[in-house]
Amino acid sequence: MHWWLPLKASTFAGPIDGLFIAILIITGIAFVVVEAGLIWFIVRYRRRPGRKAFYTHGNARAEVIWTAIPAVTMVALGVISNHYWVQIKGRNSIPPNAYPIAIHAKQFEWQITYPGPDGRLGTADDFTVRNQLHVPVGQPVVVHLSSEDVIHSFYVPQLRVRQDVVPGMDIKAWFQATVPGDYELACSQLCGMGHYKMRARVTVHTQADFDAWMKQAAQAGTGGTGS
Amino acid sequence: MHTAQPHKHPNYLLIWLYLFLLTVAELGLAFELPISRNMKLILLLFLAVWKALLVALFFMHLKFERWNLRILAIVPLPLAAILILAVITEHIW
Amino acid sequence: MTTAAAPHAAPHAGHAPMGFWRKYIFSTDHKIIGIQFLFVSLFFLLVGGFLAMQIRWQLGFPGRPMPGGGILPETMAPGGVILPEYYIQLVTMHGTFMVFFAIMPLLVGVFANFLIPLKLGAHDMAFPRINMWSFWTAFLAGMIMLAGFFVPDGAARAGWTSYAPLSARPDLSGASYGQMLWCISLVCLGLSSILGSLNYITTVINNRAPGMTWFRMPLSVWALFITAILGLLALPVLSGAAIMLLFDQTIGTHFFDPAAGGQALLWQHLFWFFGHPEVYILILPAMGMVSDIIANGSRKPIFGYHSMVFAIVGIAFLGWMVWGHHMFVSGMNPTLGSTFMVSTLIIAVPSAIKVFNWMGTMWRGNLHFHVPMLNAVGFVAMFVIGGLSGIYMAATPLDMFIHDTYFIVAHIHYVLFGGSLFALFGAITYWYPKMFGRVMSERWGKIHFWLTLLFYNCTFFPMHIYGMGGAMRRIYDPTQYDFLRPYQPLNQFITISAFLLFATQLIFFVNFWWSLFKGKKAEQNPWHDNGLEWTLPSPAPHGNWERVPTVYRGPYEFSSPEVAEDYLPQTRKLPTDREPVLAPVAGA
Repeated sequence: MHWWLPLKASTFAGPIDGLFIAILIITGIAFVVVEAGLIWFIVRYRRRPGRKAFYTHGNARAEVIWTAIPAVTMVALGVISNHYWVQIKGRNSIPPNAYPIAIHAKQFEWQITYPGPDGRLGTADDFTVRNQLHVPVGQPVVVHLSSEDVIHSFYVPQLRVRQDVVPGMDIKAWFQATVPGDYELACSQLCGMGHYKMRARVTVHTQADFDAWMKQAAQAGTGGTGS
Repeated sequence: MHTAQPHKHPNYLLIWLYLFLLTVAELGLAFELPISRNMKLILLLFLAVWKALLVALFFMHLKFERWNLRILAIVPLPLAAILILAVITEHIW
Repeated sequence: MTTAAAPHAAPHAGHAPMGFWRKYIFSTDHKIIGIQFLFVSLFFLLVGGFLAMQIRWQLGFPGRPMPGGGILPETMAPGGVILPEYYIQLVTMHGTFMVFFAIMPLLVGVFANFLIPLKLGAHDMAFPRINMWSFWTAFLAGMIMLAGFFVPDGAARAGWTSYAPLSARPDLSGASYGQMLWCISLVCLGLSSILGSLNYITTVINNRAPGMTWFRMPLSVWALFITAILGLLALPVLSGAAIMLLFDQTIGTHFFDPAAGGQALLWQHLFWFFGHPEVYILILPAMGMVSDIIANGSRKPIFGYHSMVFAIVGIAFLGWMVWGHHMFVSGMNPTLGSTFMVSTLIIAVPSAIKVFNWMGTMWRGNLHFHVPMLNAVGFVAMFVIGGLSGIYMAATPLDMFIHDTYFIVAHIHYVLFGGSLFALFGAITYWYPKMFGRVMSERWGKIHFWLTLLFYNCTFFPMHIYGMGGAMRRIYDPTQYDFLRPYQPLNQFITISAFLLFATQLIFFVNFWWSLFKGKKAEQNPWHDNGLEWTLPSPAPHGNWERVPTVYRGPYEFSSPEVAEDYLPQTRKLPTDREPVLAPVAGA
């Protein structure tokens, strides 16, 4: 059993996991200060006969300090986070050479349409596959997300990518895989009775393997409806 | 804490009837009038504000209250504006 | 004749003796109404707990027949094996019952009603009859929600957040009447909340005793007052949205259905615009009562009283501007995401201020660890964890990974159980003598606290790990996923801890009910506290005071150098005190 975040398999994983660790350090310090402080007070100031408590209504300087430090920390965190947020989700952040794949979510499967040998979606050589996402390593990929019915969510933990798929909206999400391997795509927004099994296999290929798979799959025109 | 101006009780039933008639007007306008959709929206918004004012002035008694209570009632409006603004920016995007 | 639950009627001007129904069932006495909320909400807390036990059974032992599950109908659990469609009902109704029918009414329905007039020196609420209606509409709402399990197709199953279009389309969700009843129940509950809020706000503004200035009010009352404002403004948005959803479900409107020009995200904006203030409704009263209890247990004034008030107001105000943090990956405009991230990070600051002030109160105190104090300090220790875990979600890129995982479930339960529920255990124990004229068993209260603390952390802390591993929420069978199968031992550990946690709550329930009849009779001021309610007999009589008391100081004058005792009641007049200048008070 894994006790930490999943394998880092995309270019987002570095910044996202780095943010996690930064926050872990900040919250860890706060946690220790508060909990150790509480335990210390519980022991040191427990009632003793004949003792009286120290009569005070507060301390303005303390208030300023313990307001300023959290405030400054939060603002700094916000600035750092926003930098990566824009990089990942900004509309203008999708790399122009990103390889397009159309993913149409429906209860309870993923219909994945590849652009075929010409590399463009919406042309005659597109083909659709059910519940199998194949991407090349080291190449930005942009998924065009659409939904047939209710809200679903496109989620591959190792790639650190998640985007809700909303009926009536065409949403693009991009990522770049860094480690070849077999992963899983899970639906991450309750979409009905079959939500728990709305799963797809994700295969990150080396470029060569990906080209080979593409050639073979395009010829076979495997399964599902057209795009 | 504060006293309202001494006033004759408004006829609450009459105000209710007034609201009912305005609602009938809204329905008629929405379903029957052969005007453009945008025109309908503007007129419906106008009627909705008219009804809200009737409720605020008479059922909420604000017509007869002091200015500070009227200000209090207006205070949540910026919140509503924020929500509407957020939803509109969504749509534009 | 007195049953343990009844405050005996003291002579009170202008009342003919009332029959049983007027006195205890259709009562307009704020204390009785508070107790009615208490009994009914404790019942719904149990209901929510039972639903949770079934969820945990399925997650710990997927597909295995549940002990006792044979009594469930075939449509839910044939042979005791939970079906996927029943599982999502469990998940939905657990959240719904716990948020709307347990925690919210326990904090607000019980304590706003019981404490506000008592702590302010009023005979009752500003509008006693509206108060009665507030309880009965809440009760009706609860019955309507329960009915969901007994209608054709079963209960609502789109999550307690009821996202559209899943919740609007019976053909897509599988639930028809159940999903409609969910909407109707919440409209009813919204009415109850709004009526209650009107009362609490008016009473606090108008019905304070002479000398009870704003900054002499206890923090419990401040918190309940601000919470009432939040409720007044937020619940109408939920009711409006629920009515729109009901129309989509029944009369053919398409507010949320994109197939006919509607917008799926509109539901989320409306729901969370309500939903985020709602979660502050679920924590602020707890924070207020914890302040009262910690000051009492430390025998020290609350540290930074004014800062605490401003922090409550700050949290409430900022709480209106953070709702989008529930929607970072929803497809919402990313620029909106940035603005919500900033506001969400900022709202951590007033909560931090409160934690440090509670610690400041305990610092150099003379700490008495009675059961309420144990629970109040437990609140601080656990709420801190819940609050800190929120920072991970506020960092938007990280939220992309954490959203809709068990990390969120851990956060929710640390603030709602570790926070609100511990505070409630403390508050119920603390004001029990004033409610019922008896005390709960101290020994069993301590045993309950320590066992709960242990099993609660064993249940919910591992969920952080599970979520970090990427485990999604609301999944009927996690073993479908290769990457989740290795976590099953963790799920089993959580499940067994949850069973032990639930069993431990029986100690509280037995203590509560048994003490009603057999508990030690309570003295007037068992905790040596300063608030106005402790100047009345235990239990407090109908009408509270013959004559409204006068207030000379704030509520936290513990260990004051002016007196020999370590407490100094608000109403005790010292030779150096002057009478307050009386402003005209309406309806005292």
